[in-house]
Amino acid sequence: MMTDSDLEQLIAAWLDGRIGAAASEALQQELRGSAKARAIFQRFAQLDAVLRETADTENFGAISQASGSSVSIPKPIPATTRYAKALVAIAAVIIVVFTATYYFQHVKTDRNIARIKGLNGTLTWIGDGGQIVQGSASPQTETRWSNVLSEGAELPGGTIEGMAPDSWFELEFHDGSTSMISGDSILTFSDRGQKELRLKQGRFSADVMPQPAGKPMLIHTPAAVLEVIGTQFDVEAGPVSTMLYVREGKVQIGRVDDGKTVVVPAGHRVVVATGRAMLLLPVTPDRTWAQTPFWENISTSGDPDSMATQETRDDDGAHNLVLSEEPARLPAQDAGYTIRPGDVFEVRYDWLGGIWWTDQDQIAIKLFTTDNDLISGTPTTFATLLSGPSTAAGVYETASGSSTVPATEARKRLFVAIDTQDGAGELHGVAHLDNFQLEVTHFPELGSPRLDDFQLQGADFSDPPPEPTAAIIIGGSLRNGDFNRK
Amino acid sequence: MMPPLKFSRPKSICSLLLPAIVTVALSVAPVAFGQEGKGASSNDWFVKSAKDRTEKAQTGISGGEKRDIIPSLPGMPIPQTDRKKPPSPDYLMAKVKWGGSAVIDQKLTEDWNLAPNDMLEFHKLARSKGFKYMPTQTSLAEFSYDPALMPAILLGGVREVKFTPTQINRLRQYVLDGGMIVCDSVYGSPWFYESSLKVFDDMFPESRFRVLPPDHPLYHISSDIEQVTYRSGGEGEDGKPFFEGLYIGSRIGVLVSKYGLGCGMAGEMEIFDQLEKKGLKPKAYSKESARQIGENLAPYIIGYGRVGEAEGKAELFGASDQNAPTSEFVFAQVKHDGSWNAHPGAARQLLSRLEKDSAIPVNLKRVSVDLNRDDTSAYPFLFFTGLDDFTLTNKQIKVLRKHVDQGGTLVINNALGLATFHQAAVREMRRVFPADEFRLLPQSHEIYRSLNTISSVKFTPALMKDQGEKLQNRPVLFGVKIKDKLRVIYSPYDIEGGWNEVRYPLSRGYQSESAKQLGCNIIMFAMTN
Repeated sequence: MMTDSDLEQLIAAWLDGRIGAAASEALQQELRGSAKARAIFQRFAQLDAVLRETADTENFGAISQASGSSVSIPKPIPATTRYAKALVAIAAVIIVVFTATYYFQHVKTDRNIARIKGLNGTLTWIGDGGQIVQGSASPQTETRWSNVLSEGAELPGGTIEGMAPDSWFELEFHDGSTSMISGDSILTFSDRGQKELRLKQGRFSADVMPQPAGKPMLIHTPAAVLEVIGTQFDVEAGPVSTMLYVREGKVQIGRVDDGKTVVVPAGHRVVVATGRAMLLLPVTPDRTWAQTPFWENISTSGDPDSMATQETRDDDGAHNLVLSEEPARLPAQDAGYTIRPGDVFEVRYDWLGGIWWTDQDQIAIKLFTTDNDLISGTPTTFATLLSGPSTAAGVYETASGSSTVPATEARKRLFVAIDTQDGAGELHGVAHLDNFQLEVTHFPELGSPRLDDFQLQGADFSDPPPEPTAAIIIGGSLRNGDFNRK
Repeated sequence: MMPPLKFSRPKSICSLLLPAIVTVALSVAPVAFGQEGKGASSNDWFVKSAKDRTEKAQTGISGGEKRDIIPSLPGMPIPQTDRKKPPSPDYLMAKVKWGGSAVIDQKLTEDWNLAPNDMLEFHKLARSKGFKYMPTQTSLAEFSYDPALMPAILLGGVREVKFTPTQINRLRQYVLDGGMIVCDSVYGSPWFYESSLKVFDDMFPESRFRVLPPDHPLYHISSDIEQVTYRSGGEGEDGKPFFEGLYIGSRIGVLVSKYGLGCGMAGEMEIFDQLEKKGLKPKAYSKESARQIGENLAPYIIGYGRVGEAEGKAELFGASDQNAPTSEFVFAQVKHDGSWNAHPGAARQLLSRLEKDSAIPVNLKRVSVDLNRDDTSAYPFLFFTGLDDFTLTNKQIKVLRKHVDQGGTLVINNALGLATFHQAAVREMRRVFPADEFRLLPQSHEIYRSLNTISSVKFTPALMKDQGEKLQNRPVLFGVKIKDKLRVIYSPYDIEGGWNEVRYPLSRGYQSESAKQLGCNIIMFAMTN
């Protein structure tokens, strides 16, 4: 806690515009931590404003500057008559009242353009004036900046950066338009009569209210510029490409390289990148479990009407399976296969970590049987095949694994579940999985000749070791391994 | 000018009108109505192919002395008793007079005799192979309906076949007793073909027509018929012969030829040009193929006539809802959608032998079991046999699986040893037991010592000819172990046929004594394990 005298010196320096960085930080800390300090600051600021006004009115000198204040307090005041002093004092009081009202009701509120509607994870805000604020939706310890990055707080524009895969940040502009970033995304936003945003990287979605005529919301990415009148859409920006998916309305997107533009209507998406045709691709609606043959959500808390597959963020332009760490989602299917002794199962698939998916999270393919050969029976998992952590952010990668079936599971029905394995303690991570393939290779036991090798009209009783045989159980359109069937 | 009409048996106004309609229809060319190439009615096809030749068939066959008229097949040993018999006289196949008639273009045109020389040529072909029979014809009213006197009858024509209820009953009994009906759609008329399929389907509700597989004895009994040529039609047959048969036991009771045979056998092919000019699409084998098929048809009728005699004997069935004494062995046979009753009477022969050779109390009545409906828990032994393709329902699969899981035994037999059933058995058993592999039972297996010590077996001539060297007289049984117990046994070669003491021409299986020994051992093994 600094003394009043020190505090006044710092405030005077700030009002004069001659404060250093360290002193500014010290002042801000003091203001955050002390109600008395804020009262002193307010009083000085009001007085400063009064003096400026008075100086301007009485032409005391050019003490107003382009930025900041240069009035030092206290200053020696020239001697005048009692009457004159009394008039000045009355005038000062009047000016203080009006200036303070103006300052708080106009100057301060005009600088804020949006309100934090919600947030999660670690975030950094680089605010007006260059101040850097780091915060968290659930800070472990209360800091003096906690209420800067908190739900309901007003922001005057700036840059918000998600610092972790589970970070997200939702902003509501004063006209009701909302925008949201998630994961490792960087968004700069401003609104000086026209909203202008810059998505340097990451995922961004928005629900934009109708914008003033001639002043569409502009969104700049490294590869594209979007003009938005009023719509719902998602954007994903990388260093060289930008994907836009328009849910409602329409959005014009232009390529930075050559200025070529295309208007993307609702239900379509486009990928903008150098040298790539800007093709409009229709996006089919998300599909529920009932619309996804062979697969079902076996989670006891699952909603059968919830989304099972979607086209957005797909690997091959069709549908992908949406996974979540939340327990309400556990896709599985009866593989239609009875396990034989000597079977070796191999799984292969493409997957992509999505929103809130951490570097430690993994896909977990579970092979299991049940006590009654029905998928609803009591399960016995005999193999869990993990994907390993993601090695390539933002792109699909291939994972595979294999397992030899234990003899105890022979003659039972095979079931497969696509689960997740949490690695970071949070249970909200989303991932996408596509092109699932389950293959069995049967290694016949040695012994007498098999009927399979017997030729009715060419019987031969030699007993060569039988060759292992491989067969795909799930894959492509077979049992909806590509998730495209409906 | 209208040609003069003469009716053989005018009965009514309708029958008076019919020839007139026929004549009018015949004078209109090409045919304007109906499905393309089918004609507006069957009357469009009612054209006689040729004149009768001078050699006349014997008529009026109704009865006579009952003798064994069937000689041994070529290449098969002639039993001593056969050698002492006088030469067999007589008749192999009679041409049946049916339908109506009319005089068209001064020619008597009759439904049953549109290819008037077919029987003559058929018997010449048979004679050339050593089968000396006389051609004959009969009406259904005069016919004896005794297979011992007339092993087969020929029904040829182009128009719809119809029978009276009495005729249906008598024809049905004739076939069940061992007789065979051959239907020749002489010009490939769809009217005759479709109606004959229907009328015999209705006549034998317990069976259904099946396409004969390429390895069927009919195609190999005299010469191997792998490929044929068609005079008309046949585009979809890929050069293969096409016959449909209705099985009675393991033999064909009713054979239907969709493609015309008679004109080809008689070498009278001009009729097809006439039909095509009328806009019809006839279907017929070429002359060469028709004669080759005719050559095989005669020995098939002879060989399987004997089978018909044996299998046609009445057999008492147990009822599946009758509870047999628990101490008795019950031979329960599975009904399925294939020809499941392949060798009627065979089980009883085996059970008699088992009763004689062992101390096992045996119920001589076999029980047929419908897996979709009947409770199988009372039958620890299930026998499954067939001749051709079949498919199991999910219910049947579950029942069979449960049967063996609970300690029952399932024995599967490939009757006649045909490839079609073998493929179906392998496929369907993979559905029933997807996790288990059928393995060849080694020669040292207990099943070969459970009652008789079987160190070698004798196979049928057809199997010996093809596989004798490789088989080396070793029995071929495959089995599946469930919980380390042999619960499913499959014989890819016919065991069951050998239980009946009759020769099944071209059957690929075991001779009688070997078949009975194997059968008894299998039952004994199932009862004691």
